[in-house]
Amino acid sequence: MAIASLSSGAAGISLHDVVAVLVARVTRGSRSVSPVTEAIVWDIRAPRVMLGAIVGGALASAGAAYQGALRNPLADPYLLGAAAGAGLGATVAVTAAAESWVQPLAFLGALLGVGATVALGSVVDLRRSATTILLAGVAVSSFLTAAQTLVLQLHRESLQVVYGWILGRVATGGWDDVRHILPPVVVGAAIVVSQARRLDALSLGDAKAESLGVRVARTRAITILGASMLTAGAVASCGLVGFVGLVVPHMARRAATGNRGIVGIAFLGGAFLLMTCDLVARTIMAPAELPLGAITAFIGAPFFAAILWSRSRAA
Amino acid sequence: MSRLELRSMGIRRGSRWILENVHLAVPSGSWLGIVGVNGAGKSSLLEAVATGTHERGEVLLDGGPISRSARSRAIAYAPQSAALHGMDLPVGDFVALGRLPYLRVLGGLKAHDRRAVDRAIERTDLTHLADRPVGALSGGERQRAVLAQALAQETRLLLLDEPTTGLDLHHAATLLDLLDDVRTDDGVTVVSVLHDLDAALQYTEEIAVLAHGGLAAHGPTAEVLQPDAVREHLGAEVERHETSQGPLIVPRRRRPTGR
Repeated sequence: MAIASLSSGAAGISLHDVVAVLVARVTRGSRSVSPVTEAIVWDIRAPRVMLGAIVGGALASAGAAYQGALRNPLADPYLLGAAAGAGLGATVAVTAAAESWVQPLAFLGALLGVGATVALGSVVDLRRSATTILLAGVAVSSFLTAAQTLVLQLHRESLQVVYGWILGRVATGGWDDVRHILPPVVVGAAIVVSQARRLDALSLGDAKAESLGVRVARTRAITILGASMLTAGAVASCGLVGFVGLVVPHMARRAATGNRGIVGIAFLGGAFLLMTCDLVARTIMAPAELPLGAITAFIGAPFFAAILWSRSRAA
Repeated sequence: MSRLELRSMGIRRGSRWILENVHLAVPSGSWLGIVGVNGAGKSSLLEAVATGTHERGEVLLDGGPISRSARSRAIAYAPQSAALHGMDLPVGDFVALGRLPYLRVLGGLKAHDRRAVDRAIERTDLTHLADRPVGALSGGERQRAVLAQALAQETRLLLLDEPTTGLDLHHAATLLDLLDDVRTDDGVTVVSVLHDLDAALQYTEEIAVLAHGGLAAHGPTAEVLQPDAVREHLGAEVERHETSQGPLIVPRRRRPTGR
């Protein structure tokens, strides 16, 4: 998929040339393709494919972690306030005409959104029951979305830009974007994986998990923190790409049991799905690009329906 | 071997105290049954001992208080299994979760952990089902899987919440016999909530009756379970018959039986 992705785009480049560029880059040997071709493949498309894969993997594994931590199959990376927070952050940056602040503010906004949700959830219910946190997420999301709408109404000229951001796109800023997303994704993934077995215990019920020495509230909070770093990193660089974090974990759940396996497979599945969607987004109407979020929902929704259908038949 | 002692235990749900001032001592290697009407606080009491979430009093093990980390290696808790309906973990992995108190954050099961898991699966006769998802098991098999998980924890104290509920006569007897073996072979102390008074008479040495927000009676099972006590604390009219197998308790029909 990655190589097909590198080969396709507004400028057609043969698979052979793509492989030649990659081989030359890896082996630092002499090249048989033109410098323009090499620039398109290595400096423009390669980082984009890489970024898409990382964002897809981050969103999908974050979704798997949220679902495990909250024991709710509907939990997804955006439900807890991450999307609304990132949206508000990005909107503020756009309306203040500070383009370079879009990523950092979206990142911060996502983390603050989830932070507010967890804080609200735990004020209401000290044992942080899963449902309370989800409901708190709905409240926080609505509030932040309302704030975003308000800011947008005051700066109508930014509507187009913000709307484009909300629909999601794989940023084309080159390797720098890949470098920026790596730290939160690596740290977030490490946190999530470290809690995976405790999440398995949570599926036995809170009391049983506590009796196995698992601190339920703490495990839930740490997992949410890790998953939120994954989410915040992803949305900061690519906007609100929906559905990956909801659909892919359900597929992973069919392929693996135990949260460690599910999170790992979700990462791979999410990477694959987003690379595919990005390829569709930039080729189907080339040279125009379709919003990535629309494509993921377009491909993801029927897929999700198919999973639900086969599950109801199996049950 | 492990002696369990509860001192002035109090458990609250919201603003209501469901149990107050419970004093109870369970000698090492013995089997204590807990009975009481629905809502008497039996499950809450077990849960509180297993998780340390009681609001008042203390739980002592071998005369001393227990830390959280020590608790998970000393006390295994087998809750009711009805909640495991949709669980897709295979039995083997499910039982292996019982080893969680012994694992490092990122470490895997060591040889000793594997042996404990295999032994628990073997003793509960689940070997042929080890790859089956827990949610796909029958009620009796699921009860055995829950027990296997608790056994894999290799603790000195076993707390079981209605281990035989929903089991047919044969499977219930098999499970109680297995618990009896665990107790006598490994010297494990067993505390179990039971509804079947005959099973309690047959298997447990002592019984604790929970009623009216506290411990209503406690003592050797055969002494405590008299018709008067059953009427007063469990609200049931029963007759007690002495047989060669020991005493039997039979509910009395309100209309005279038409014979």
